[in-house]
Amino acid sequence: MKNILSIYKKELRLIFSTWIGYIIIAVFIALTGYFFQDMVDQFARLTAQFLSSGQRGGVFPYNINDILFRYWLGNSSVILLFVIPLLTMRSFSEEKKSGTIEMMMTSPLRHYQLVLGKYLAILTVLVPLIIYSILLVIYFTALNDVPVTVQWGLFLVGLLGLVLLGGAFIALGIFISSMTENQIISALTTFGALLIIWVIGWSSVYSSTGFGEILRRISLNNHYENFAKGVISLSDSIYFILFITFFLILTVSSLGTTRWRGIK
Amino acid sequence: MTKKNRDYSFFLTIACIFMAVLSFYLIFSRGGVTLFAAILLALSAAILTNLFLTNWRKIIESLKFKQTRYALSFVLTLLITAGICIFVYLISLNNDSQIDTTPNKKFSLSPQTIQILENLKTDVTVYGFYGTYEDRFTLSRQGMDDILEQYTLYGNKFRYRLYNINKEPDIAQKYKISIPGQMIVTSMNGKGTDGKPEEKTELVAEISEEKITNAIIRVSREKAKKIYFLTGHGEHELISQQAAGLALLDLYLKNQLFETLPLNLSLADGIIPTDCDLLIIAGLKADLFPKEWKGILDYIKRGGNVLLLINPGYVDKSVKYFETLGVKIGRNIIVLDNLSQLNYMLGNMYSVVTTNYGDTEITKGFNFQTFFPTARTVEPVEKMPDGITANNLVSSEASCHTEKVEVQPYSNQMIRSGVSEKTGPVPIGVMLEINTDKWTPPVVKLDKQITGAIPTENIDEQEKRNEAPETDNFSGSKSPEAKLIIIGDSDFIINNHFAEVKGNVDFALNTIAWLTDEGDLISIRPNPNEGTLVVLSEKAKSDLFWIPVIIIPVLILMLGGSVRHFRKKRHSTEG
Repeated sequence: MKNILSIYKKELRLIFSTWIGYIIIAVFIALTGYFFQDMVDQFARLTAQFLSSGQRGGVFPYNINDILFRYWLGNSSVILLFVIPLLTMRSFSEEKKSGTIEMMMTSPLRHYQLVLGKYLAILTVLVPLIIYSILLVIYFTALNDVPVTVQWGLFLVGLLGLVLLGGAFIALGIFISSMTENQIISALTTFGALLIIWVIGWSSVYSSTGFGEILRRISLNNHYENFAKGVISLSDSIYFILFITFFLILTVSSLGTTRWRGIK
Repeated sequence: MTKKNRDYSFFLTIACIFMAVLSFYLIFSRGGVTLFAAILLALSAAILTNLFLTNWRKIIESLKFKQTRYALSFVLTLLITAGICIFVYLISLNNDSQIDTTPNKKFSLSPQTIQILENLKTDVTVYGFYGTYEDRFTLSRQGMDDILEQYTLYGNKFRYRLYNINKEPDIAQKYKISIPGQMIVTSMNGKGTDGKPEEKTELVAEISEEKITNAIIRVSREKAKKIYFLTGHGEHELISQQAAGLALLDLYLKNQLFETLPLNLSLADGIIPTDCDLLIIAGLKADLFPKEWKGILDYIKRGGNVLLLINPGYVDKSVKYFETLGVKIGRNIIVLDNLSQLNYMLGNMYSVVTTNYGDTEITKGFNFQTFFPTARTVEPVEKMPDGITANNLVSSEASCHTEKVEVQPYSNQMIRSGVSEKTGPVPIGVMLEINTDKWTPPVVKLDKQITGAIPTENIDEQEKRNEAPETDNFSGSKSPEAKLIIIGDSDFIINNHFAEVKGNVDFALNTIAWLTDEGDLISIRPNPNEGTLVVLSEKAKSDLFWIPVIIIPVLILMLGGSVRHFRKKRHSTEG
């Protein structure tokens, strides 16, 4: 645990001692903020249309909890798809390129401690993003002229989904980073792999029932959707945990290969 | 083998793997082996075999290296881990459960729907249609996807596809869809004229669990339920397009895949067909013959369902017949104390418009107004006959009273007394549930008009023996539960008034659905969700843009710059 913590601190320091951590957080906040503002603006226009059409006695069909938060969290997940590879690309690739990986391999550190320390450090970058999302919603409710009932349970489940999704992205990202010393290749491959797993479910509607079902079950997006809707499903939670575990195990195994590469 | 050949082998291997993956994708996605997929698979297998045969010495040689063994061990670890993960995930899928945190449980299907899905015997496919230029917050595509996705979680007979109405007009036209948000529920459960299976379809115009589940039931049931409309006593005619006809109701029922048929009981020797799922008696103007009444009692005894719609004034003897079942049908008419605007628009001082429904399966969550052009009271008696339970279905609003009424024998004119009998609200409809095992039908003497409700203990044993076999002939052929609804008005379902108020359509169809044993479906609760009004001032909008999109990110970048600056400064100081 102590070793994991020391790796964790080192990695976190590394992220925030360079521009990369700040730029990623700033870009994420600016983009999610823009999408949020844009959606709120659309909602305000729909409200204005509703009120001006003299339907005050009727029921306004759009609810921010059902629609705005869900779409916004969906957009946030797509932004994560772009920014996570930039965070994970350097985790092992840079160590390999600079040669510090050899020092680590020969140190008493276990591979899993190294992987967990780095993984948790990158995961921690998501924390300010989550806090920011909550603050943004509070700020919006304060600005709105009409009292807004935020269904916090539903929103927090969506954020939990975002953390799990981010965790899965990071796990895959550091695995790919452990396989190459080129950061650009690492980032691009991570992005490509994530994109494929993200969209693979879309083709399920064009496939036969059984195969379509397999594609749907593999898709990250399909599992995240339920969280964004406010539904915690056992299978979705297990999927994310297994996805993360699988790629962390692969990363540990991948680090193990560096010891025997070159051996004949 | 030369270096060039080795490179060639490597790319060939990659190409073979790609072709194999592609062929498997084609096989699984199309649900069968196509010629192209078979050629791809055969080609890749042939090339791989050839590569193996030409390089087998090298492959075996390479196994002697530690590197190869480690690599194999890595691949094995990968496969085992993947296998364990898939296994655990499959277990979680088989024992899946979910917590729906939405306050109105929007993403949870009702137990009735789940049961129906798990017991589906035929494949059911839903085609949903959405538009291209819909608003991004469109309710149709997302709404359909949300609800239909839940249906796929249960059983393995349900699937759905969503189509863009503009991009795929052929499919939309095939099912005569022109409005986004509509769905077509289909199953190959119908039978063509040649006896071959035929696609059975049902339109769902509203994205709601209740409507979709109802449609699934209808397309998946093997035969259409039959509703017989009694004729021969001046009832409203089923196929009549006239104001007093029932053509409109007939159309609605046929759309819901019911089969509707007229039934003249006198011609049928008083026997109601065994395939009758519901007998509707709408607007009797002449009394039933004892033999017909006997036929109705026999039908009820064997678990039949009856809807009696009876206008004020008419058929006193038939009223007495039905009163033997534990209801009191008033010889009166409901008169409004004052005319509201709606009453004025719809009719006259007899036009009852009400939302005063009883707490029943039919009217649970039902809040539309129902309009009864002329109505009489129908209420349960205090002491119900054994085996019969009664519930009040619908009552008038408070601002009315009842007056005694008589129909002039020849002119058919109704004369009301002008004296208030009861003040509102007064009951207009009653639903009866009859446990036919416990219920003994009143004896009908066929040589006389009516015996009324003769208590069983007063009938001599000989008469009992004579009557019993006839009613028992049918026992066991149907459920022992019979259902009966009596409403003191029949005009609310006629062409002139049926679609006049939305409540009339829904009230009548819900009543019929309950009577035809589809009542469990109408109890599915709606998932209403209150909208959120977003009203922002221009300044608030501006703040919502500048603070999260510009100011906070800039502050973060400044923070990063400061941290780097101080670190550099510290390093240079330390240096």
